Amino acid sequence: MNTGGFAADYAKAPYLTPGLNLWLRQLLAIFRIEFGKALFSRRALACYALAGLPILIFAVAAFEEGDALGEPVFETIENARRIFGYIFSVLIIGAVVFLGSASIFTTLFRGEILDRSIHYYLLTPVRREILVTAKFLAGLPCAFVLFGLCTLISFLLLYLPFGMTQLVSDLTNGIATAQLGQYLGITILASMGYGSVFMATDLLFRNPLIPIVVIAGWETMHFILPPALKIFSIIYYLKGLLPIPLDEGPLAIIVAPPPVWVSIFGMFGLCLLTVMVTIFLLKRLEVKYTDE
Amino acid sequence: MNRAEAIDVENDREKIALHDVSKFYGDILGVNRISLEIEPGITGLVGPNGSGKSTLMNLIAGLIPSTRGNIEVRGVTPSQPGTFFRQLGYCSQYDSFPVGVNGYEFIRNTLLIHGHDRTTAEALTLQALQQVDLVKAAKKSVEAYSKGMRQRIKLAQAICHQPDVLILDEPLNGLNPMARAQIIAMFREFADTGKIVLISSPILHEVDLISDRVVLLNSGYLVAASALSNIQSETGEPMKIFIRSRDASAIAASVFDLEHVVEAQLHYDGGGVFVRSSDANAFFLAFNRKVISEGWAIESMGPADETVEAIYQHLIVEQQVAT
Repeated sequence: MNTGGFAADYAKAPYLTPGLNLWLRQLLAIFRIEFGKALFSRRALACYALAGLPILIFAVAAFEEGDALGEPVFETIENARRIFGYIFSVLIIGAVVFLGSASIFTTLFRGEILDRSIHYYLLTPVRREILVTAKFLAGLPCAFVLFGLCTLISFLLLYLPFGMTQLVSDLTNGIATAQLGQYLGITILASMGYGSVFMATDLLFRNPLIPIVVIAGWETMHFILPPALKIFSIIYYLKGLLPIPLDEGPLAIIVAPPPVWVSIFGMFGLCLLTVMVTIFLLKRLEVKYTDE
Repeated sequence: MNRAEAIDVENDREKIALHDVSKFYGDILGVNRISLEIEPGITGLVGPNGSGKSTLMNLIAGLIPSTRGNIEVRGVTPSQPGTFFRQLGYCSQYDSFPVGVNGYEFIRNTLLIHGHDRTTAEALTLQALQQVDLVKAAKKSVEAYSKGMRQRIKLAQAICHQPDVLILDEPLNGLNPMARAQIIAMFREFADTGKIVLISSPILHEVDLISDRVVLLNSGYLVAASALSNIQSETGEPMKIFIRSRDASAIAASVFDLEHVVEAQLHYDGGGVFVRSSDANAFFLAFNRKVISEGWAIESMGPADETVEAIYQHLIVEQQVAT
């Protein structure tokens, strides 16, 4: 072992003075580490499996020659788009993006607390604001890539039974492009909204399952909530952006969807608020793995 | 600021200072009313399980806030993370690491988060890995490391950013005797350059070998903090002295004539004698006169129990038994 000149022989490496340059460098470093962990670690396998589920369903439906009566599964392209809208709301947003975001964003802090490795971050001269922002920003592209691809591939598989001519026609006349754009936009907003909420609740609850179950219950029941409470559910803002309005059944309390700009800025506002709450919680976090 | 105040401030910049620090976890006491100054050199932190050692280390490292009192590490508080964590390296007792990293990435990532550019981070990574002799295993996953290698990579992570203060919670756990000796030599070099090393260890003999000073904790309270010899004399416990001499039998037979001697016992080989005296200084003075008058040949003489273990035994274990 080289112990010679342990401290004396090495000149102190210079640090950047605190400021935008240093913060950007730290943000980028944390972003790279966290993005790699979120997308390429073993923990990401659950997200891959979730994102693969709708693709599998649409692939099976596309390759089925017909239903029990021998009729095409989707019958017409209009019907197929309507079915996609329903599956997108219930399965892709309600399950894949919701649970996938929970998986990605609850591990950002709670995962490291459970692994007893969060102190490696907290012992570096990095502002808590930078740490939270970098981790959140690293989770977002991971969610966008996985769930965006899931939406894109599912949408393209929808066209498989109708042939390339139908797809090209819908893309050129703008129907498919507009709808796909809206679905992808909703996927991104849903990832942001759910992700930011899960990141904050991650530091509030020792058991991350508690907020996941509570929020899932709230989001599932939102259609029977009175209008004054609906505004506190994320899905309320997202449904207003759907290209094909969704029939929520006879029990639903119907309210006018919020304007598009409210939905979009609402999600950005929610992100900002929850990131600030997370910073506050992280500053109060006590790292005590010990039993003492 | 006058000159005396300026000197005080300058002195504070060289040490860890705890002022009336308490930490409670709800109703449970972590540490209570600790006032302490830890100066450059190696300080051993000793105490039984649950005495508050890790709490005190986590408080100093800024990982937990104190319930009351304040802590300054070289004049900086944890509320200034930008400066505070540049000068502090911490090695936890837990064998935990970020998932999926190899040794090299573990160290380099730390340095990148510190804000170093890639070239500097890579140079410092190599330097830290060399210091703990892990260059060859650098590209192996940390999960595949042996216990000793994990301990060394944690040390590399603690020293990689060239801190002035090292807080080490049981840093020698799992190291083989050779690695242990090398790491201890490393701590000594670090301390000899005027830096602060705070080490906790459950192995008292080890703390004894390493430390310039010891801090004794019991049930969250500070029991003693000083150089070993100072604590020994402050405790009032009779001191055990070993005298090696071919006249051991004669010495053993006659030392009871001297004041303050409460016990004398021949060494098993007959070539030495243990003497217990309630006033060591008075004993040495009187014994020297006796040696001259009797013409005894003395080969060596010195304290036999000036160890952390003896002090620990007296200050903590005996008190616990008594209560």
